[in-house]
Amino acid sequence: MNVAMNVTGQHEFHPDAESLSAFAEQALGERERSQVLEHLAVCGRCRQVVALAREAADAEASARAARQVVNQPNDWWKRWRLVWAPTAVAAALAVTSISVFVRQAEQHEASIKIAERTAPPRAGPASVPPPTEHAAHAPAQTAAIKPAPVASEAEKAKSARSGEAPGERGREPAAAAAMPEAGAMDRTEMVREAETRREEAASASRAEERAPAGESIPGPVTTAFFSQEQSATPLPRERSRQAEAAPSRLPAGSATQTVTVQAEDKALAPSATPAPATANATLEVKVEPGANLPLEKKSIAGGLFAARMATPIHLPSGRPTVSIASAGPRMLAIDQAGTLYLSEDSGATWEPVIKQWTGRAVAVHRQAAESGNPATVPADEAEHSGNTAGASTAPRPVAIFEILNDQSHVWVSADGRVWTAK
Amino acid sequence: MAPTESVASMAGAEIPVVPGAIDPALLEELWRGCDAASWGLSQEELDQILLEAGLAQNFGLAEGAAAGRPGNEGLSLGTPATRQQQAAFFRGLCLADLVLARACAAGHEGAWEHFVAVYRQPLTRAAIAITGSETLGRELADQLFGELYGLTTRDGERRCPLLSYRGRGSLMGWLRTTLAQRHVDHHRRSHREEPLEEMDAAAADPEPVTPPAQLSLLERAIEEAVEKRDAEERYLLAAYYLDGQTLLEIARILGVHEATVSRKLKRATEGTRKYVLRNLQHGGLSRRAAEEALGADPRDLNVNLKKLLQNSQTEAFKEQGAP
Repeated sequence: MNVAMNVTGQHEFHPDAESLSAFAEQALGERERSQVLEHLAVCGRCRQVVALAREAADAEASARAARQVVNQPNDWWKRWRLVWAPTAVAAALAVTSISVFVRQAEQHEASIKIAERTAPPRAGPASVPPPTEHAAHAPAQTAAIKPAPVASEAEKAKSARSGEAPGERGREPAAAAAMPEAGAMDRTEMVREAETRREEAASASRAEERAPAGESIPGPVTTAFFSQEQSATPLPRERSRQAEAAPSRLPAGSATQTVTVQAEDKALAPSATPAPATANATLEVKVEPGANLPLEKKSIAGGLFAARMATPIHLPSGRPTVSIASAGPRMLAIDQAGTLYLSEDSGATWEPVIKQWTGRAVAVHRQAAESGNPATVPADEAEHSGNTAGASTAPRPVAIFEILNDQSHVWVSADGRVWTAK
Repeated sequence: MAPTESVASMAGAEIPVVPGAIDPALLEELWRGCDAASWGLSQEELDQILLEAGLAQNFGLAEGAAAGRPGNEGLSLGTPATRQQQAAFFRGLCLADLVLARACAAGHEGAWEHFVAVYRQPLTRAAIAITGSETLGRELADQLFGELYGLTTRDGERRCPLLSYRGRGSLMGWLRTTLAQRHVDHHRRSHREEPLEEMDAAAADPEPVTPPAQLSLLERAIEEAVEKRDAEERYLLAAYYLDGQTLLEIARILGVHEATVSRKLKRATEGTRKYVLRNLQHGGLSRRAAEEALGADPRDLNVNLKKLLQNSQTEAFKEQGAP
């Protein structure tokens, strides 16, 4: 037995469990604590007992802490936290939807105002009936639309060859009658529709490509612009067969609405003018004014319109385009900042127009104004449509562009460069 | 009135109490403060329990004749504790746990139901944590519960270990320590049954390079150095180097910070090394020879100290019997 062992020799028994427990819990007096510590210094058994008891106490404390965390009563704000997130998302969506709706409504109202200001006064039966009368005119509209595929016999034969129903082709021009309404459409909506209906337009275009040259049916729609007219002027000679067919089904004395859609056809249209590499063909469809198109035709019209608008227009400012108008190769566009741009080459190049109006320009439109004799097709349009003969003999209208500022004031211009207040 | 309030109100009161008795007013307050009535104990039984606990520790008067020796009861009371001393003593006890333990030992069903409801699961978890095995832990906990319930008898008398609890620590701490004692004792008994050859093979020492004379001188110097260390330093050296406990574990047992343990341990090691060097020089070795005897690396000293403590521990266990 060594000297160190003599210290342990004093303890012939171990401290009891209570002493060791009290030692670990710091509950012993100084004197008794030193005695227990002295024993522990030489007694591995009691050191191990104390260490194990302490380890078990630590494990119990950890388990108790874990249980407290699990059983901790949830505060009301923590319970509602799960509700806040979806509520916030729903509120954000609702606010976004409302703002978009309000914005669309404002644009729609602005377009209506422009239409009201620019629409020529009509007399007698030519006046547009109020919206409440639209339903009553539905049969008449059906009658007007029915001959809409004013397609010629050659077209019917072509449709038969391509396996297409005879009336399907005529839907697109007929649907173009909805353009005044489509003019108020949001561009995003148009692009979305264009994506969904591009295939349809493309298939129609492919069918039209197979049509022989010289037909009045335009070729594939690939341009990024369109023009629309509302007038009671006679039809051009070129579309005489269509015009003969359509008015014959109309009731006597009813006004007609002419919608002109310009399209490019590289393959079919004769290139009478050297400037644009592509020639312009012109579509005209006559429908009864005030008659609403069926929903199906409207959507097809929207698809055609959207397909045209889907072609991107890159303005020098780089901003999105909010309004476009065109007359032949001349195009006017307003970007999101309200800057007006002019293009003389069908949108290939753009130049800004010096601001000659007050406020911020929000919309641009084209209006065909009569210059002495009624006419529907401007001269430049007639040139690009290849109808040079008709253009040389028919009265030449003057294309007037209108811009509307954010205060609903209107400025007009004939060339898109010089503007005067209306 | 709560017991603590009554203790405060009695501050400064030096009313002598009849030797071997608890002040009646204090007893009344303690009776109302603990749940003795809930466990089916009468006021007389509580008086007996408190008196027994107080006399066993002389009401905390540590300088009493036999107060410092654990387990020594029936001490001779030279000076009776005043009411204030008695109140301070009972205030330091876990009185509720003590009353519950005694009520259980007395066989009161209400106390047992409460004891099982409160302590059964923690006791099982503690046993599992101590043994490191759920099977062994549950077995150990069940065995202790059987003993606590008084299933074991000695000389025809029902023996309940809860009678040895005197309320100085918590009842749960006492239960955990009891479990640890039983587990360590069981392990040591089964460990002694292992073949000695394996233990010898595992404890094979390398050949000493130090001359035998210097080795003998070094051993005596180390023994004296260890003896000169105080109890806490010896405990630190043994727990850290012999038992392999971490500084954090030692710190939790001693109730100090881990850094404090580290600092004290370093001081104990350096002090032991200096003391050994001085003893070696006193034994006739030069300083250089003494350092060479220890080895230039202090870790060599640790190895020697570990061997010494291991021998001490083995000798101590041989002298110890079962508690």
